[in-house]
Amino acid sequence: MMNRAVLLLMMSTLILVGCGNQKNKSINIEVVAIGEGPFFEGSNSLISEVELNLSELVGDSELKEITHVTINEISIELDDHEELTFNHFNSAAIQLVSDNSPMTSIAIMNPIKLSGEELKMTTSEQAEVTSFFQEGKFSLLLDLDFKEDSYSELLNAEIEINLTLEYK
Amino acid sequence: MKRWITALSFLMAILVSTNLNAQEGADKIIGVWEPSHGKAKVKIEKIGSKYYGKIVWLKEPIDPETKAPKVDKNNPDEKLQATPLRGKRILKDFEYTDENEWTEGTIYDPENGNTYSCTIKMTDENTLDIRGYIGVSALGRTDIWKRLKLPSKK
Repeated sequence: MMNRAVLLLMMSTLILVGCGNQKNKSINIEVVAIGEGPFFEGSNSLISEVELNLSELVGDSELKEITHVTINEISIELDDHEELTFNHFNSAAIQLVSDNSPMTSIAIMNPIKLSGEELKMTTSEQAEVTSFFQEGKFSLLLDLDFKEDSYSELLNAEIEINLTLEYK
Repeated sequence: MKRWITALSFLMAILVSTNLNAQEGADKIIGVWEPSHGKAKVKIEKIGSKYYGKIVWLKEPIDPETKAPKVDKNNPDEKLQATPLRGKRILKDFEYTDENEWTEGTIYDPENGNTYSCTIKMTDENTLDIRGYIGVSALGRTDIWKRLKLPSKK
């Protein structure tokens, strides 16, 4: 009986110590995804190679390990462009991919509905993205479904991601 | 000394050539393919070091119920069910191993929302054996995909 009580006490202490170091912080990441034309009717990809220094972003030099990441909100703005606006697309979708983690869909907007100049995406609540941030290096793919062919040479999209990091 | 340098250069040349050949072999899969059911066409492309396939054509693009373009309504993630089927990546994360085989990937079946482990074997330059399975490869099904040939210009 005594042994069991001691064991329980030790386990609770371990759990408390383990959780005690946990911190969390919401941050914004801004990336630019680039696509080279011509673009044909249907899905065309814009890509951003993302490399993060999370200690800098979080502002905590003692950050040792990311334990969980939740994506809260994603918004997209197109660079001022003579020809292409969001009206030229049926839908937009965002995926993350890296050498060590499987491609993961994180957000979608279909059909496109604008709030001002921005496109606010519907983000997945189930997407498991922690491993991308643990690696600190991944590609972000923005798939835009073009209504018709466009012979633009270049298209840039500014993507702002609000996320909550849990870390030790 | 001269002999050593010649031997080293020779070895380097062999290594570079082997690497280039492997790369060429891996990229043979890039193109547009048609599954045996003929209801879709899938474009396989390379992103980073891996291969992905997205639906670029549907025989019946409009959902008879909604009268709108088909979406991924069986996706287990409710928030992603509005994803258009045309443009959806159904082959993901394939790595070229060797001997005309791409492994470590998955295939998504939009008709039931399930994702299966998958291997791809190129049996000739215009034919792929796509094997989807759960757990072990023996418990699966193979479909044969044919490369879409563009009409030659005269």
